[in-house]
Amino acid sequence: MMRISGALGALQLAMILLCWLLSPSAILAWTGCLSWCALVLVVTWHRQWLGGLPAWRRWLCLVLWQLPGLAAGLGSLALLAQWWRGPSIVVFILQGWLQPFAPLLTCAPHGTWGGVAPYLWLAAVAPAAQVLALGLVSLALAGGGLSPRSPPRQPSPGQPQS
Amino acid sequence: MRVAAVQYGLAILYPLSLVLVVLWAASDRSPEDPVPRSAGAFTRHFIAYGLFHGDEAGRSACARPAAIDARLLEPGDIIIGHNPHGLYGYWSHATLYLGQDQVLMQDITFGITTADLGSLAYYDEILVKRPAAPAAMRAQAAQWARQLVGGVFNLSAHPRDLSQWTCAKSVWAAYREQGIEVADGRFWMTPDSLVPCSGATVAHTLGSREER
Repeated sequence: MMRISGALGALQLAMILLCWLLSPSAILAWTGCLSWCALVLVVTWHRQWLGGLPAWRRWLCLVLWQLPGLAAGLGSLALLAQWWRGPSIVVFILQGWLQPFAPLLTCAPHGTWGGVAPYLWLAAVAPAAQVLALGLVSLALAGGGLSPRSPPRQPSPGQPQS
Repeated sequence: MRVAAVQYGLAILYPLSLVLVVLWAASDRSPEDPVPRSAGAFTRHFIAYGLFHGDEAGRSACARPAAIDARLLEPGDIIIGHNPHGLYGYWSHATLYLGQDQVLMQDITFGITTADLGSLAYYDEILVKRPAAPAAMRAQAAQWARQLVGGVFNLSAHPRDLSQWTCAKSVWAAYREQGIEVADGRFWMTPDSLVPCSGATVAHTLGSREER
């Protein structure tokens, strides 16, 4: 489980760097974002990634994978809601963590919610929303998986069936 | 089996890469002022300062901060502020005067909004630059900047990503739209990079340190 969540964390770091490099071009930024969404769905389904784990371990794996984002999101939420007067570097870390989703965040409505730009609220809850959404997707597909399973052996003609 | 080996490799690489970045930043010995100009050295300095001194950013050392007389200002004037704990150079913030006592406000915890001129009254030192361009063009730059309100403020965004903004990048882009270059061309655009822009210095005010 640590192996899978660690590997997913490394993939996310690589994607953060790649999406940052692609971000000057809007088309490439969206391509990076959609590729990351597709990759995330594949690892959620695939039996050799999250799809092969029991349900509770899948949830735990998702939480471990998103732990930096969840911690930064919680800190940002506390900062935005003025429950905590911590350093604003938590927002910086959160925005870095969410770099692959940056094109989605730029589509957030303009204006203010509680004196704060809406994209900041959305960014703060995004890691938790991602864990929830992927956990539910993974549960809905429980028993399935993208990698082919061995089909049940068919009795050959003439072989007695038990 | 092969997938498991790749997963093990990535799982080891993940914490290792984070530790290496922190060690790289921790070994930064560049001065706070002037900050390094090259992209790599600035990135290292920025990470180091953010990690180890980030909580000091934004704190003023002045008993009475610098104030600007609104009567001196025209729409499109570039207002640059200094506080002693700025993350990225001597000048820690840059914004545009929008007219009618309003400035563009770019902040990591609020996003991009407009605010009263008085909201800049926590800087120890304020410099106001007026780019060498006709008044109508400067007003158009200010007008263009208004459309950024509600946009994404992201300090780590790529300097050429025009969907996410920093304070200096929003000022630079407002003038770039009018065909005027106000930045000095360094990779990471910071308030320092706007100071050498051609044009008049309208005001340069200091806060009072003696009263502390």
